[in-house]
Amino acid sequence: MRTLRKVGAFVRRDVLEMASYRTNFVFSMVGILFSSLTFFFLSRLVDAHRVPELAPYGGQYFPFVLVGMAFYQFLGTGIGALSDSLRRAQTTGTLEALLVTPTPLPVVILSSTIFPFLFSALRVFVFLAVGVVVFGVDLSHANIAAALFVLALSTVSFTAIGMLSASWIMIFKGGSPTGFVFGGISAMLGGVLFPPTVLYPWMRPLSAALPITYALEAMRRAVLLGDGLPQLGAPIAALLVFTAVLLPAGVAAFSLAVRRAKRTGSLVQY
Amino acid sequence: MTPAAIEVDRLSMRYPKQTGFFEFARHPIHREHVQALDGVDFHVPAGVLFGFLGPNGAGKTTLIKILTTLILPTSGAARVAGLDVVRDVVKVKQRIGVVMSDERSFYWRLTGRQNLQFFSVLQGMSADAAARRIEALFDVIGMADKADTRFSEYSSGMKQKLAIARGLLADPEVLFFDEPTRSLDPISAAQVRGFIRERLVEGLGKTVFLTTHNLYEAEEISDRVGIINKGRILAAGTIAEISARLRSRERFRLRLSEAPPALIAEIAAAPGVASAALAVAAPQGAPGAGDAAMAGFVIELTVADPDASVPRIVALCVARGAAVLECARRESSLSEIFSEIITEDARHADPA
Repeated sequence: MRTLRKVGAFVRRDVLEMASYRTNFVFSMVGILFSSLTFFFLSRLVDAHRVPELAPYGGQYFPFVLVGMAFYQFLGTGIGALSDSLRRAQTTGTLEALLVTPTPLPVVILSSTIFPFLFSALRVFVFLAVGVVVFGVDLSHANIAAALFVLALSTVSFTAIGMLSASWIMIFKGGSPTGFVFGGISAMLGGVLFPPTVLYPWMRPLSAALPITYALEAMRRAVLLGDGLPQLGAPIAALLVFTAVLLPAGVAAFSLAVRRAKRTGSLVQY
Repeated sequence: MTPAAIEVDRLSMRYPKQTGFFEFARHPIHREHVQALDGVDFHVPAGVLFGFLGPNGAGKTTLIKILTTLILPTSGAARVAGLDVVRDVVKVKQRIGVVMSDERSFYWRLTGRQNLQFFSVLQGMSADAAARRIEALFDVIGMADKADTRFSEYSSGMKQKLAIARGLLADPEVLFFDEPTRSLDPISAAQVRGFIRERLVEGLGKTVFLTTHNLYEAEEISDRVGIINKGRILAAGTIAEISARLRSRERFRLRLSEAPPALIAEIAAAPGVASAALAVAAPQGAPGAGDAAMAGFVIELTVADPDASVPRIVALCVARGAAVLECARRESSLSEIFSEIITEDARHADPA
């Protein structure tokens, strides 16, 4: 109960801060409309050629890329929120003030990521709502329960990657290769903007080694085709394996990094 | 005997120099280390204000970070409010308040009240208790009318007062201040010093551990002081106790009717004299010399063995034709004690 109050305090803090930057918020939402518009026109070009690689996802490019973009934003938050929160607290100078309270560091850092996740969820919703309302995308077949399950599983898996990234930043302070590999490269190899089947054959094993590939496939099939958990067995099994490996690794790396940073006195340095 | 609020026992801190990944990859084993603290030993009785002094890089901040559980020592032990700072981290944090001088440790877009509400939840306080406490603290720091103003609109003095209020949220037994008047103007600094001394220590009986560069500040408000240099405690106790330990060298004020440079040089070279310097030159009858009783040439003397040295110096002055108008022992100021201790330490470290 007490931990929940603490999580609530972090969310309230972030809401108050965001509310003080209203223009930023408005532009962020308007930006979604414009990026959707870009992909809408691109889809008119792509759909004119009836791309066979899109057939497993319903055959149309715009719904494919809309779900990809919306979901990628959320997964990006999973990877980046922990290290971003830590970095922000270090650079703004608030981390020390947080750490001298009796609230443990993992609670401080994890609670700081709740608002970014909520904000990302809002952006996902707006992305999809713009697609449906403005561009007439048909999401009436979406299997909401399966989509939420995939979202939850992917979030855990990507947050574990985020823990590895935050651990790196805690020790070496600089840009994390974990974030780069799973964030930057995932966008290309994981199939955010195009199906991984269009990649060169030698690139496909790399794509298969990334959790985002399975997360996007499962999410697209749940949202666009209405597949339920039984039909999504293969990508969900792959995500479970990634989670089983990454979560303990992330927790262990984060604990080690905190311990090391406390021993070397570098916890609040940046 | 008063129980100790802070006990530090042979505390050492040695850490590798901060490196980036490539430097770490090149030398994963052999790395340069910094000895930030080296066998630090002292204690602070409950209910006193302990001023902790040292030059830049002496180890003050490292020590305060260990005592507030932010970093782990390499060896030795430290207890705050009777609790071990390594084993009882959460309990220690429940018994201490930390007042940071860094204005950036607040959320600038939030009001003072919103900031305190946020930190009160992290302290584990209930909403009702926090609301009452925050209201009372705004009264205590004299900012009740500014509680709902954005932090970014506060003056430096108000920001520091809010930092004190945050440190007092959970009504801690021991308060740590890291250079509390660093960025304040003289009037605000005096107010903060007065608040710490009169309200917190004398009024509420708190134990205060305060690091400062400002020797005047430490002398004005501290019950006891500790002096640290290069990670080692050079002296700890009341100013009188530390001064007494330096009694092998005492300070005298010698007022002469005249003091030509040759005489000052002779005094400085006399046996048992550590230093002799002309402090005031106001010849009797000279324009602007002021009160005749205060006129003359004042020489500040530091001598090793006053009983033998001082009569010899007086005799020397008389022999050179200078009348001795005054010869008095002088209490050392904290600034002089500090300077002498640091100089002595440097001399030991580098005899050449």
